[in-house]
Amino acid sequence: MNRLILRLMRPYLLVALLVTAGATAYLFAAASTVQHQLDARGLPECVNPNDCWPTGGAMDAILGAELLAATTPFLLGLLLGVPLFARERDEDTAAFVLTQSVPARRWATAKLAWAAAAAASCAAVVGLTYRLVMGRYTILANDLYELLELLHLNNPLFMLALSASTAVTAGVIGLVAGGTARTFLLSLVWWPVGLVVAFGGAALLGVPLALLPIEAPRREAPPDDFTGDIALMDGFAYVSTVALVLYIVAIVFAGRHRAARAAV
Amino acid sequence: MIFRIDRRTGTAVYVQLVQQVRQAVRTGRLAPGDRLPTAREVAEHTGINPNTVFRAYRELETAGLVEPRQGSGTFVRERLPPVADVADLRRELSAWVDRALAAGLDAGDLQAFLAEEVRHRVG
Amino acid sequence: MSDDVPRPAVLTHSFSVERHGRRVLHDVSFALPFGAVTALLGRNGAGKTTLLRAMAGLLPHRGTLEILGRPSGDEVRPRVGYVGQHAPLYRTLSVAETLRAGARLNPRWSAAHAKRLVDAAGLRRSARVGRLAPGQRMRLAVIMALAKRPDVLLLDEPFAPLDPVARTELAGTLMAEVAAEGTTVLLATHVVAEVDGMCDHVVLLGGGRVLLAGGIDEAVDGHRLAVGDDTDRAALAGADVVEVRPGSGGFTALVRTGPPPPAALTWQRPSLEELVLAYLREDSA
Repeated sequence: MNRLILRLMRPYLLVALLVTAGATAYLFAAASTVQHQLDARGLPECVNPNDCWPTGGAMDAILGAELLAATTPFLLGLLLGVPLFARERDEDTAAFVLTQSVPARRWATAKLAWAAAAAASCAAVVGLTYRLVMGRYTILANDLYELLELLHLNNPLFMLALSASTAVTAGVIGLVAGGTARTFLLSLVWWPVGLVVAFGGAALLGVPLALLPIEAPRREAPPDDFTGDIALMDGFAYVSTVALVLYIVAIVFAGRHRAARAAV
Repeated sequence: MIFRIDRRTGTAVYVQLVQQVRQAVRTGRLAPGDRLPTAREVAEHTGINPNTVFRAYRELETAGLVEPRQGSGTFVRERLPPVADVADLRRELSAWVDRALAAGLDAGDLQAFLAEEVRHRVG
Repeated sequence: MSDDVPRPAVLTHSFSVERHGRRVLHDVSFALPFGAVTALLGRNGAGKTTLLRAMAGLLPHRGTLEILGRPSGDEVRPRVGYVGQHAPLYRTLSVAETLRAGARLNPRWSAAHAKRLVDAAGLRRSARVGRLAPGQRMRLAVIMALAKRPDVLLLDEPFAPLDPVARTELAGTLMAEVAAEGTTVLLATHVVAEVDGMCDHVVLLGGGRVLLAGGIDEAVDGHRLAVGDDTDRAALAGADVVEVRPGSGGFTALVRTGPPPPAALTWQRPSLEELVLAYLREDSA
């Protein structure tokens, strides 16, 4: 069953790998563009926007990297999630596979799991590259793109969870709504909704956490050191990730139930 | 032997099978001791329901023409029952055809009459 | 034939299906004995496809559906073969990949049987399913269902995309399967002639209801057909009439023979096609 699922995902996996490779390559190139500008100014280690505010191509590279970090996890999720069941319904192949000997709930669960795993892996590569390679340069233009940061929280784990949640959501929408075009359009809504789920969930989870008598570690940094900015939202990102994971488990169960409903 | 099924004659398929075996035995194409094709072989070759073949073979068995042998198939019996006296019937029929033709009926009319009479009785 | 077997292979009772809030099948009840080959007949939109899909577990239903003596569901799925209309298969897979998938998805899968049937059908293993002609694809779909070694086989218009040669070959394959394995077959079609000689039972659907169900011989024996002039019309009084079809100056009547048919007319045994057409015309009138 798993081999068939992966075989059916193959074309989408290939595109997802290409997207991942392209995004990763862009992040490396963008990092090197900014570093070049810093080198040219004689400030290779600069982390203070007041000293080395990027201009021209370097600024574009930072904007590009921010946009990439914000959109790639979502795109990867769509790419792997939308065709998962929508295409089966379009081509009526569900009538083939669900009349083999495998129970529908197992088939649906396995498909959702593989799509989520694939989306998460790809998003993890992009997220880690962003955080480790590009992160330190985005600080230089933070004032400008602070809103974009809210879409990825500078956190690989959050990006991974966002991607996986998009994949399973698009998958389940396909299972219920059918039709690739319709599934795609409905799944677009998941972007804002997903963020609301993540942040709303984080707020709900965060209230009890905040009540715990844990002293948050305070960093005593000099006023012109901004390196801490990149990790500023990590705490919030981890709680949001937990919220997304809870959501993923719930939606997979909903999909499982939905797939099995007819077959009872 | 190979059966030939004609779906347009209106004759029931199992009747066609029975007739063809009878004829093959009469003409000597099937000799006593010969094995009839299995229901599976007939079904695969002609695309007819194997139950129809079983039914035809049962009918032939009742008529004393063939006998099933445990596990090896259906065979033409060594000692066949005496064939009904067809010659007499043929003589009567040809006399009747002569009269019908003399009365102005044509071949089509005769066939229609015969078919209708047969259908009434055999169904 | 096997009507004396007490437990049927397939049993539906008060079986109903709703699609998009509309009831498509109403109180469908019939039983198929083991080893029966049943024609599922009806006009377009009568509910044949819906019935087969629901029986295959692809649509939710209400009422009873028992297959091989068990309620339908995951437990009996390995024993039920289903071929949907237009032969749904993965178009991006090759023939060989499709067969491998079948082997992995079905515990009762017979690779030897699949190989024999693929060779007989002349299917190229390396061919992509999406590139196969519709007839070839249908044959592959049927092979997938047969290699699953089903006890009950549900086929939705399997002959429609086939050329005449492939049609007789498929009929032969199916009937050999019935002879060798005693498979119970339910086969939807709207061409009665197509299944003549193959089927021994019939389920006739009209507007989502069962118009007629049972053995074909019994059904035909239970009806008589007569042609009469308008002056004979009165003779039909008191008969259990299925349909009276007026023609030029006369009529054709089909009656059920519960009471003996009126003696004034010459009654004949109808063909299956005449019987089916009379029911379908009367249902849509």
